Amino acid sequence: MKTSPPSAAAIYSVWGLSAVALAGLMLTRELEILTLACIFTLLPLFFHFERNRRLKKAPWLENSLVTALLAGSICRFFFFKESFILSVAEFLVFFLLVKCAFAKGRDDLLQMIALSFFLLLSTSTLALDFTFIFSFSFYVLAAAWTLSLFTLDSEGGAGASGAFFKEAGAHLRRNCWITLVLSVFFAGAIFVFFPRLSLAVFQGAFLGSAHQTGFTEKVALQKSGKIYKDPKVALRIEILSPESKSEWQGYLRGQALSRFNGREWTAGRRRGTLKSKDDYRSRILNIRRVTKNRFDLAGPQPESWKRDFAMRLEPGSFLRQKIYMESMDTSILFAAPWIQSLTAAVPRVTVYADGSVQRPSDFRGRISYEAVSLVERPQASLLAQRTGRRNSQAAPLEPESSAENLQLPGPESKDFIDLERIRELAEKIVSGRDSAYAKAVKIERHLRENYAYTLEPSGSDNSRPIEDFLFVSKEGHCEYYASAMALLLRLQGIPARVVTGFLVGELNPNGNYYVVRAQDAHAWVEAWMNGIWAEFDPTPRVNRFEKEEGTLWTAARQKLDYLNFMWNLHVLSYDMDSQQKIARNIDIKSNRISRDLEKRTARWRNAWKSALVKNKKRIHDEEFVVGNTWISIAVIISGFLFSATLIWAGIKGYFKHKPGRQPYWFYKEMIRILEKRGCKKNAAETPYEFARRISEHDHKNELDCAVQSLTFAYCKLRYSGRNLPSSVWGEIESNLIILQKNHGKLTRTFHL
Amino acid sequence: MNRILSAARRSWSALKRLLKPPRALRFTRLGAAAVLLALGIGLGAMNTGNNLVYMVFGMMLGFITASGVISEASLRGLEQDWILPPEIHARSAAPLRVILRNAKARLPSFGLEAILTLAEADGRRTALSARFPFIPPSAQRSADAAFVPQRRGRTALLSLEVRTRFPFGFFEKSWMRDLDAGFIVYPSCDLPVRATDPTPAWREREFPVPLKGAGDSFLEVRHFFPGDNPSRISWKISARQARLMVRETEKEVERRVIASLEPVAEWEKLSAEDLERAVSYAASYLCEKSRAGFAVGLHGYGPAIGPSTGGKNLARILRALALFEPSAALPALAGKAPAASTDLLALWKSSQGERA
Repeated sequence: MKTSPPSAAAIYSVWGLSAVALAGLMLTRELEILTLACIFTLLPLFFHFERNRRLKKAPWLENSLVTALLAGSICRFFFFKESFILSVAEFLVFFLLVKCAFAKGRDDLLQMIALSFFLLLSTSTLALDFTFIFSFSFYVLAAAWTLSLFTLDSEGGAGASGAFFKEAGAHLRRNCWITLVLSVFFAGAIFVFFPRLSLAVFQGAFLGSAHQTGFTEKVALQKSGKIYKDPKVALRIEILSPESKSEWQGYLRGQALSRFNGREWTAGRRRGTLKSKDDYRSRILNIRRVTKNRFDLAGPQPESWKRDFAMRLEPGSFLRQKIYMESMDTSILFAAPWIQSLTAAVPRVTVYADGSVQRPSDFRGRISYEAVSLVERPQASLLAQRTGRRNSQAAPLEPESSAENLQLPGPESKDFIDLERIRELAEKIVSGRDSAYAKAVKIERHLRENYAYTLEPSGSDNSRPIEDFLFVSKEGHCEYYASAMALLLRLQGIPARVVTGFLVGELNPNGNYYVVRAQDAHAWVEAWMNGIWAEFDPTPRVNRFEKEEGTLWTAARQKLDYLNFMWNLHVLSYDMDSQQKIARNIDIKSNRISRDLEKRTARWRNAWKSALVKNKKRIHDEEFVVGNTWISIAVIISGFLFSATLIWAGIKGYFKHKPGRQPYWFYKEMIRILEKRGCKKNAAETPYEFARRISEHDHKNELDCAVQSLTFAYCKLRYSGRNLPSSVWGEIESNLIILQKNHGKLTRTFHL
Repeated sequence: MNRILSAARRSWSALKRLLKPPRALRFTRLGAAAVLLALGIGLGAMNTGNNLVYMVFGMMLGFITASGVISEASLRGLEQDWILPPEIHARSAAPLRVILRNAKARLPSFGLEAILTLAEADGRRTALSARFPFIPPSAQRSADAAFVPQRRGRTALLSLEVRTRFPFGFFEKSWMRDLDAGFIVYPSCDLPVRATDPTPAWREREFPVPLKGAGDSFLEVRHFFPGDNPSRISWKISARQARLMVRETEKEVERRVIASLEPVAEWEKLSAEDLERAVSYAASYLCEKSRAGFAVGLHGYGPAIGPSTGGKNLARILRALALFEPSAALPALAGKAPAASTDLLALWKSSQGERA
């Protein structure tokens, strides 16, 4: 069956819906620059052509373009290993643009509506901040409006005319608001109460995008890229034990890198221990139930530290932190150094010998976890004493680990590193009589005081980066500093390694949590101090917040970030534990209410009993009192029923006489009154004929006037299609009163 | 026994009416897709644990619920009515006006479609559709549905179904009310009728000659002859002429056609198609004469309809022709047909012969 072309109103509302869906997706800030450029240039252009009716229909071209786009997206996913969701989202964007580029029939509009819905779905998987709630609300309003117009247009083509909008626009808008309210209600109810089964059938396949951060799993000495300046939030940290916050220096440890080839640090061969918790797995489907698990990561060291380094290890020595990690391009879990335990919704973790903790590769994406770290550090004097020449063998490192952390670039790297020159520098900085700790502190101080921090080192010799940093440019970023110090320590025979992670510096006062951005990635050094790996940070501290602090922009940014944090905390991280917490709260509160109620009723019952006993001396037996209680309950219930009936009758009467409820009620009332008085309206008689009949016999009477007036009002209301003004309703009421007051049978005068 | 059976049948139909849900609900293709998609998204949300996907799932349920609430608001409080054209002729389009009145004080009704189901005289069922995009609160709207009846006779209005897909086109919700009404479809009156008539008597009446007689129109003045009615003497002219003169008036003869369906046995011999054609021709002939100012009457098949120029009389004749079934015809109640009546069957046969 050939369908009529869609109306302009339907077409424009579908354009609006598409624009809302695209805006929502753009708010996630995940789309590539090319996609954004296409949206901002092509969409207005096509819309201009649409308004001028210059778009043509070319199904073969449209289909070819969509097929090409599909093939491109499949290639992106399989060959370029890009995020599945992002590939799908960008395919949908271009599909929608293709649909916008051609003339549209009814089916095309329906396809555009479906595409806009899938765009919203993509937005829901990509969105990480509270802006989703705006995208969601606007989408619901736009979709309700568009679908209503589309349906009306399909039904009778009425959506097009301006007169229709003038008459029905307000009602259509009201319907959209009703839809929004219902959608928000259902979304909220499902969000809160729908059981989170935490099943993971395709865990890993439907991942959103993974953010690149300054943190890398290897350190290559080169000029910093844009990542080092990226202000995108990577982690947020809530400190749950404020008493130990002062001990923490703000480091979030990722992993240690021990192997150095002169230009690059890598982790080398790592030995890991898998810590696994029992998790439910279905044998039929690849379904896994994931719950929160606590992993104990502390070894026997803390006890020896207590003994050897006189550490207190009190509750205040441990920092409890809750970390909200965004989707990142790494499986490493970050926490304050010397991590003792970790609680996360993962079935297993791998703990490496260097102290780094890794989650399973199929559990990448956003995660929140709790970690407990030991933040108390041994006193410097004790460290110096323990690492002095007398105690040099107090707690030797395992041979394998020692060899790994003392490794120097081999002869194959002589083209880009001159170790002898660096050794000379090390000997200049430290004295042979110094303890290992003193050597480390001297090297740290030397680097911190004699070298300048920059993200764009001016040295031109990229082939010999360490020498360039130490002897030529004398400037660089944290990786240069850390590499140089680790190498200098190794040349002095002290096992050392570069550690990568983040340095926390930005506290958001609104929510009292720390914000860690991609640009906060940092590298520092760990050196073996005869029993512990002590941290040294040779990089001079640069407070990048000094300039920004107190400005309006900073305050606004912090507020926004706080909203995002709240969103993250209460919406994105809402899980089965949160549900159980809510259920427990409800249970406790309802129990409290029922207990209160019970107490109150018991009090009333006792008062009632005592009053009965007091007033009626003859009543002694309990049975009689109980019987009376039942009687009183029955009386109360009957009273309640009686009053409810009265109220209902009142409501019924009110609605019966309410002008808007039954538009013609007054005419029916008039007929009823006249009939009671012997004047029945014939079925074949029109209202005017009936009124004329009464008028013939009761000419110029008060009753006649009332009947004429009521008849006229009835015909006007019924046949004009408009409601009566309020003044007429008053007149109707008074006419009815006149009719009711005219007593006597009319049959005396009317011969019917 | 029959009474018991009919009572049982009535009770059964009353029970069926009672048990029948007040609204019929049907998924549209879009609705089925939306519900399946909602289920898929629900499963997806459970699998991924993505809370925002749960919200999208909730949104879809909200849309489905809103669809039910708003469509119910559209269908509630509607009163139906219809207006039929004064004459409905077979094989001619007749607009049936359907009126829907929104008795709700505040809520409008959107996107309604009224389906009027009719049973024609030959048992054929026809559904007529009229659309009402918008009915404001406390107002009424009307829409015409074109009806082309295929056969003359009684047509029953069986039911009126009002349905809507508003607001989102996910479901089609409807209610149906049985109508106990009907109307009569007149035979077709648009067949060509010959200018002349085979009956000589009729031809004479077509061009009437003035005759003396009782009437108001003046004819002539003549001398008084004995035996003339003295009341006809015109005294003014007699005074002027000085002799008795009589004023003659023209006898008013009505131009009339009395058609006859007798003998019915001849009609019975016709095939169903020929019968319809013959009745249509008869109706066309009588309509044509009525339009030309003739008083038309019908004899045979029930009580005779006397000649008259009035529209109501023609309507009675057309009604009689609409219901004329030779096999079930009663004998003429008015006795023998008038001598000068036009034999309709002969007229049709001769017209067929001329055409051949």
